[in-house]
Amino acid sequence: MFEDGDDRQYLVVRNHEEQYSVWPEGRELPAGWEGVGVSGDKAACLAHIKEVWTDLRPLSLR
Amino acid sequence: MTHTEQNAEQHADAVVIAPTTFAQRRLWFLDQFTNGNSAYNLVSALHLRGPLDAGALHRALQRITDRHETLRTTFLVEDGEPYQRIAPTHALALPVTDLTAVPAPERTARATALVEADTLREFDLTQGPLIRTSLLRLDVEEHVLAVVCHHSICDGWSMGRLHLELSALYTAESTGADAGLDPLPMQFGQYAELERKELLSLKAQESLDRLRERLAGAPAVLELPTSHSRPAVQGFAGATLDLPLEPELWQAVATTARQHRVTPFMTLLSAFGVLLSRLCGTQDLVIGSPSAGRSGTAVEPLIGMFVNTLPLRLDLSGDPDFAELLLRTRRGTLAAFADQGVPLEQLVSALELDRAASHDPLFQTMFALQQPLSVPQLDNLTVEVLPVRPPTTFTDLWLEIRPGGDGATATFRYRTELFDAPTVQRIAQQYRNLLRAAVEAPQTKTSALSLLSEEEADQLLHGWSRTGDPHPWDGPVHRQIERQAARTPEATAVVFESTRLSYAELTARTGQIARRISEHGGGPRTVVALCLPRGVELVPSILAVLSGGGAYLPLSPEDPPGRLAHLVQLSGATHVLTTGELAGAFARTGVPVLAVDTGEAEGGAQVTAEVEVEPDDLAYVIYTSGSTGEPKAVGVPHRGLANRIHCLQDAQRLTPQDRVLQKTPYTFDVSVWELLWPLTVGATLVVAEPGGHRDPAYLVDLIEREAITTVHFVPPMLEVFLDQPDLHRCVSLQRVLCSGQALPAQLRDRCLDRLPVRLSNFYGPTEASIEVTEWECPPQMPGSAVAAGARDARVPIGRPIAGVEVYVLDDLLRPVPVGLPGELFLGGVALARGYLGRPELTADRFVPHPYSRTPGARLYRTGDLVRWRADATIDFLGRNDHQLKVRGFRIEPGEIENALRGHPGVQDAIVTTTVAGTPGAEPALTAYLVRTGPAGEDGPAEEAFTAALREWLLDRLPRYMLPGYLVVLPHFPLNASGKVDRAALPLPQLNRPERLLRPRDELERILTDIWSQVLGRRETGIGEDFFEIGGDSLKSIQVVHRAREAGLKLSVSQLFHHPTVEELAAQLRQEPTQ
Repeated sequence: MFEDGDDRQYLVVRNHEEQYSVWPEGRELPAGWEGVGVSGDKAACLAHIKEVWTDLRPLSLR
Repeated sequence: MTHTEQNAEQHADAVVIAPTTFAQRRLWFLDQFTNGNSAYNLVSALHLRGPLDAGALHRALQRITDRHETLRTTFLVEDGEPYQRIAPTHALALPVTDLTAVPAPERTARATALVEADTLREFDLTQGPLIRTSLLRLDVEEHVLAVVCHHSICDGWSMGRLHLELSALYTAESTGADAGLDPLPMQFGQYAELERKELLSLKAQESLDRLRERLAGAPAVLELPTSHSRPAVQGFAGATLDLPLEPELWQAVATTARQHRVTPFMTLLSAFGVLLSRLCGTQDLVIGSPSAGRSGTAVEPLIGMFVNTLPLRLDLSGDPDFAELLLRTRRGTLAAFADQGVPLEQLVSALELDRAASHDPLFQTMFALQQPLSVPQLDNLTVEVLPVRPPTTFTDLWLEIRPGGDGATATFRYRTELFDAPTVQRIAQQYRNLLRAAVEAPQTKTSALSLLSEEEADQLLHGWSRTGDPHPWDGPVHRQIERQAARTPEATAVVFESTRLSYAELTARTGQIARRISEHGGGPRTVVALCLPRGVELVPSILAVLSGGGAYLPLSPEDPPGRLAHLVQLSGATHVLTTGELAGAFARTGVPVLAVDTGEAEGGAQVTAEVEVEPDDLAYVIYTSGSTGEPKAVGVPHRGLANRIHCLQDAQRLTPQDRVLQKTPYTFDVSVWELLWPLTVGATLVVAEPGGHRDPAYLVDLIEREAITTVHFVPPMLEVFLDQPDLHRCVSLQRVLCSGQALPAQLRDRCLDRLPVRLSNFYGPTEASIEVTEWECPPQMPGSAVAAGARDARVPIGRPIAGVEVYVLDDLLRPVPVGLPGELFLGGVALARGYLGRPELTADRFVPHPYSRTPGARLYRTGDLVRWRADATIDFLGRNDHQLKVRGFRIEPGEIENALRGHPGVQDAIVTTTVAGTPGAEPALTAYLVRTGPAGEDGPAEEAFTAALREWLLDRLPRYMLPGYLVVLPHFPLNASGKVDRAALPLPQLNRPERLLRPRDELERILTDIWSQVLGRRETGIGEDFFEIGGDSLKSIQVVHRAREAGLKLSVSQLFHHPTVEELAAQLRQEPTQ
């Protein structure tokens, strides 16, 4: 999983600290994470994250 | 039937010569190859209770021998070709051993041991007899009958036939009644002739072609996760392990099989296939399975070697569900059964696989579903099978399942050269877990079937993954140092060359720098770049940044100005602290640059306002090199750093008397604890001069002069350091801490031999606060049982430190069972914030944590390959991308490196692949070596050394693991962090014209002539590999015979071991010919 160039579909996910990551579509999402409504191959998901995750600090520090 | 009639049945009263079957030739070859072995001895032991008529038993056995010519067969050889020699008669002995003097409770065990010992006695295939019978008397009415046969004349089915005939003939002999046995329709010798003819038929050719097609491209060797490395030449030592399959499971197997219209055999085999596929990480595998090999009623009543092992290829590609796999297995198995007439030996020859001495051709694991054991019915006697398990095997792993009662027993027979008992115990349990999961839910994808039971998975995920809670947050590390400074202001905090800073002076200097940063607009939660040489200003500069609430970013003064400016911009640093000399490099960044060495000398240390620091605030930012080349700025929060320092102190117990060497370049994160940890406990930090970390002689000097107690090394530097002739001067040294790359066992031993220190091995990526696992190497105990040889052959990276979670996961993020390689994932307080300015990279490496009790937690995927040991520690196996594949073999370079390091002349070794000399060819396996002792030899001396090393490896590694090139280097190229720079290793000289060289002396000429004759070639080069130019096992025997005729004493195994004329001749020169 998370291998570069795999043909899996991923979701863009975010936790309560507004940290972003990706998660394979169809797999149970770990507690505390939710999808932001974007999915696609890994590269597309990461490209989206590059746009929206402008502050890497956890929310509690901002 | 009377005796007279029986005798009349015999075909002749003279010796008969018959051809051998393919299977017999193979067994005969194996016997020659190993100079006799007992792995192919079959045994049947029967426990007989009741009044035994021993005379009738003996006569009955004799009549069986009279009936079956195979029991009177031996082998003879003509010009390298074996034949069956069938004697007209053979008087079968039935020696009786009396055990009645043995105490009654021990008799059965004694009988079992005696039968086992009898089974281990080798047969002489030329002399015979190849059947031995014996009777053990345990009591007046209790006996054991043992029948031991060589596999070349008997098989499992034959033992059943023997029991059947014994039942009839024993009754006949003891009562005088007619045995009622029909005359045999044919004899084994006739069968052998028949096999020859049939194999020449078009039908047989077509079978062979189909098989060849079906097996094309199958992996040569199934790389099981063995406990020990595969030896160069395999032996036959084996053991067995039984695992019950309980009635409910057995019932479920039958039900699932029925529902999917397959046999229980196919179901059990499919589950075994899934297990092997998971253990070996392959989706294509071949498992051998014996088939009775008796097509046609004429051969059914015969005793003889008919069994043929069918290679069954299983296809798990595309992650089928188990039900789909069952269908594939059915298809493959039925096809294989249709072509079962092709003897395995013929197939192996046809596929040209008949060459390696390290592993069996085509398949190395076997599977069989056996019938319930048959026992003869003997008048007035109760007969039971006496289980005898000779400690031999002829395959790596053999799963045999035998129904009994309502359930079944799964017996795993394994090669003890490869596996230890706990490993096989785990594999057996994994089989049962997996079989259960598969038959309960056949629609499950095979990749999702768990090898682990829930309890085992739970233990790995929630037990082994952690050792303790994180250290409670008690403020950032620099606050601890401030508190310590207040306690011992006069103690020496930092030593650099002739300068000594007390804790009070350190605090003062820190305050001055902090004020300057603050005056220039620096504030909390900013990144401040440092570009300072190692020296007395470094520590207060770091502390100043931290006390202002900022994170420090170390930059190397040795980097070119362009790169420095780039890194400052990438990181978003707000200030640069540097020296006057280096300040110019940052002019164009537009960031305020403060030169710490030219600053105005300000008055006393006014305490600056204390800046509150949150645990999630960054403490430092360190660049690591990415695979793409663009450096990545890892931001590490205070929480992880504080936890690391506390754990270090808990484990290492530094005291104010300790003196810690700071020599790691501060651009590497190990330097963070080197610089800060000693100051949290009132110890003294001794800073090495710039560049000094690369100079072992300087380090010895410094350690002695400054009475250093604690030092960190990356393994290659430790290696060099230990070479110092005056190492004994380092008497003050108490702790050696290693990390950065794998610590070889040999280096551990040298270190403990040469220095009276505690040696710790750490592991950790920059992304997880310096180090996350630790292992303390057990101390040397001179004269104790812990001899050098008994020490662990691999240094583990140990267990997680408190607050850190470690997981070994597969590519579906599932826990990987003990002993199997998986990727290391990290969780807990040590995790970095991420890569500054690289959200997409951060999101890719730091992923949702599926096993955390804390919602929203993240896991860092390290890309490192590790495995659990049975004792809950972890072995580091290498980077995910270091595993090599050469000629279809997956190769673990570490294994070859270990073998090389085991040679006394080798100090260190790196194995990798290098591009081949000719385009399109396979990459070559290349070993880089550093020799012990003074380097600099070359020419003939070096050639002799590498030749000797090759011999050494030949004895220790399977042939496919032998490096094609051995490159001796004075030292390995190191990168700035002191780790080996693999990219800088030179390419080997690609010259192998010697393969085709002509013979250089009489011995080589004789050998090349013999090879050319046997292989039907005009010429043979002395460097050519016998098995690559058409040789096979039977041809090897012809070579041996011809060599013997020429007066050379040569064995088959020598030829396998040294398959070129050059090597073979060298071998023969060492041993005088006889």
